[in-house]
Amino acid sequence: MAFNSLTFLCFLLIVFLAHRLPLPWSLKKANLLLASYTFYAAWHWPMVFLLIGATVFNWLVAQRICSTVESKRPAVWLMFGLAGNVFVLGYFKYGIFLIENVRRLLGLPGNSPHWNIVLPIAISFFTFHNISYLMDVHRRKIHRLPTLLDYAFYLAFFPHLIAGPIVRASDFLPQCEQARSAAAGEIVWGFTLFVFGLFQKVVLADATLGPVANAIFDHAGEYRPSDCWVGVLAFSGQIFFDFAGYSTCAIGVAHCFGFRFPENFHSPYAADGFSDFWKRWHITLSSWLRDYLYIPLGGNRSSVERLYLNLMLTMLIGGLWHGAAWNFVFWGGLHGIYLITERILSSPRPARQQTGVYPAAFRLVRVLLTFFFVNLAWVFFRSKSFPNSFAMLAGLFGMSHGANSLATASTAPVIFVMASALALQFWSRERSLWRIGVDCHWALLSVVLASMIFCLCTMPENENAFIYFQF
Amino acid sequence: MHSSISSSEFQTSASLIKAWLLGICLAAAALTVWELAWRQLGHVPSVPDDKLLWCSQRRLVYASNAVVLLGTSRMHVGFSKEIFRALHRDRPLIQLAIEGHGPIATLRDLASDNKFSGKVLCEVFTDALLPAAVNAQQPWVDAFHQQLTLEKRLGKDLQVFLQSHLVFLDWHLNPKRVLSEWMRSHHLPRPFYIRGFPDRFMEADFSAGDSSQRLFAFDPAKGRAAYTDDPLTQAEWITHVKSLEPFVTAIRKRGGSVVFVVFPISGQVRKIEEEFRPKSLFWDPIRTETFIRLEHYSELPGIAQLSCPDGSHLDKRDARVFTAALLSDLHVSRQLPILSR
Repeated sequence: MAFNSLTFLCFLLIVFLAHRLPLPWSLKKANLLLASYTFYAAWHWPMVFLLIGATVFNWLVAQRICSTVESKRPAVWLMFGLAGNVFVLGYFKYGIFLIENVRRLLGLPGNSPHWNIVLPIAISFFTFHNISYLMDVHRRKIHRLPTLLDYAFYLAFFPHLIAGPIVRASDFLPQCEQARSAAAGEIVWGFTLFVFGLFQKVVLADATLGPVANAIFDHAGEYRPSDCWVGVLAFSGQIFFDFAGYSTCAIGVAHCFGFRFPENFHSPYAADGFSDFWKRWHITLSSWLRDYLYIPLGGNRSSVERLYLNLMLTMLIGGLWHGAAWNFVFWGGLHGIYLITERILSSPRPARQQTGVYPAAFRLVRVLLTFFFVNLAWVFFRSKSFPNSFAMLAGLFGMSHGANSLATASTAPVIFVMASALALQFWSRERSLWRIGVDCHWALLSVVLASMIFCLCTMPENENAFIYFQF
Repeated sequence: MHSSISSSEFQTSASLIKAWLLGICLAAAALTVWELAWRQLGHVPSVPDDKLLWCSQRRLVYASNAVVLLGTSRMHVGFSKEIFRALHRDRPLIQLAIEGHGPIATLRDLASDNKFSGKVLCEVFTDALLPAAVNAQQPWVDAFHQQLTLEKRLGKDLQVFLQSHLVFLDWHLNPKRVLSEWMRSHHLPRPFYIRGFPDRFMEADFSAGDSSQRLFAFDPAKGRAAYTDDPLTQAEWITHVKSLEPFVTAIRKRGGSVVFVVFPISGQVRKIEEEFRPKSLFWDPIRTETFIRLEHYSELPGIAQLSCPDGSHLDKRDARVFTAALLSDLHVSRQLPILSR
């Protein structure tokens, strides 16, 4: 059940009305849990049992970690819990990829066997939730263990279940303890975010940018360089509006039920460096990788060489998290190289940026450079294979002699949308969406809302799945 | 946790509520104007076909006395449900034809489905029965067996309901497409000549609608080349058709029946077809060499003279004439008798 489907709108309405009934808080949570399992079952109902199994397993392991806190056993239980989670993720998501690569590495002949493993939707997301919970319990960041109902609710709450944001247990579980009821203003803001998120997904990502990106990437190198750049720009916008749209919807829906989720995107294409980019793009994933991978690996606490190695490992694993394919690993590696290069170039002169003669202009140049390199990396992320990626790069730099061209009616909206998005993101680098909404005159806001609703009603193509569902 | 807002700030949200109230009114007004304007220009609600809609119809084949239509676009626009329903009020009619995709995969699926015992009218032309086209409809069959969840069905029903009542949900009238059309030709989209219905039936009105973007555009040179590049002998043809007999047998064994129907063609399409795949060499032997029942348009009274505006698809008025003649013949031959009430 995708946020951009009619069934979800009906589902949301029913669940919302049920949540407003004067029932005890525990019953309301049970209702939301049941709704969340129904939401998950809509894709492939047997997988609900996997979700329940993962919930019970991690809840029990956390109990054991806590109860053996005085001995050395907590670490053993933590390792056991982590191994269980990694095994499940590895089996469902990376099993075929691993076997295929081992087979190729050993030069074993024959066709690959037909593996019929159904990839459970959202497995990467709920596994990361589980891992962070176990590690936080072990680090004693969570002092009061939740009830099984609260933990199941935390893991399965439908707004974040499928594609995040990755919500930390230490942030969410305290919200479960006391009865919460969204005030009128919070509900209205929640629906505003929901409409805004849907607009990003349906109108900008699917109807405007997606078709152009698909046309160019499906025929890599066959178009003129200028059109190839338009295609890369289109994908750059498509993936942002698709995923940021989903996150905005999720945050909005959670607001309607009185819950707060962390921000997941904050003007990422206005980042003035790669480190800044990762503080603005998929914030909950990058902070997860920082806290549960980069820092445990040693972070920046040891030698410079080790720091670079840690950065690279974190980004490679971050790339692999996006999918069991080498192009994702390469994309992660490319960002690792970007981050290391940035460190090398910026470390000896930290104060220089602040004392420049034209700081705004200097920042703008850095923003554009960052955007350029981020776009180059998207080529590997989007392409179906490495030959496809290199054909696309050849097309971008005029080395493929592609002669096809896109119609102005296709390129003009992409350029307009992306130029507007860049300008808006640069303008709102330090502003929150809420602040922009509140500062905007209500009459102007109503026109914006009406325009978005009009476009949402008149421009749906198909109910395209969100790109991040596959991760 | 980085959250975009704090609780206290919601106290200042009265303006947000005002914005929503006005926004909803503005959006409703704009949508009403948009809808009425298109209706004024002659547009009517039309339901676009897709895989999910096909799946939702595929579910219905188990009804008692059901008649299932298979084939390609010729069946999709060339069979009149009004004429059928006037004659066969007690028989559910299910449209499973798919544009540009030969019907054999669906026939095979129905044959292997032990619950199916209905009657099949299968529109055929020579290329649709050749091995290269045998799996053409398999993605639709797979979607039915693997992806048709309750949630998708409900969503589709809801979407179809809205599409069958609101003109602006027609994808031709998507503002982005309207703008593109305007930039290209400085014209607003005219009503399209094909209209789709919630039960997947379509009708083609070549006289009134915009048929500049044809469902099927025939290029005589390419059509001729397709036959000369890949010649087909009569023996090969009979072998191919014989390989379909097990599907027909399976359905017959359960009390159903299968009739192959060759739909009318005209002009260049007919000329080339008669040159390279003459009826006497390709269709007539089916009756002597196999036990498959065949209806050929040229043998139906008054049908051979029908003209297809694009060479291979009937206008909605001619579709009624053709359907009446076909059903009359099927009734006389007891292949599809009119049920006594």
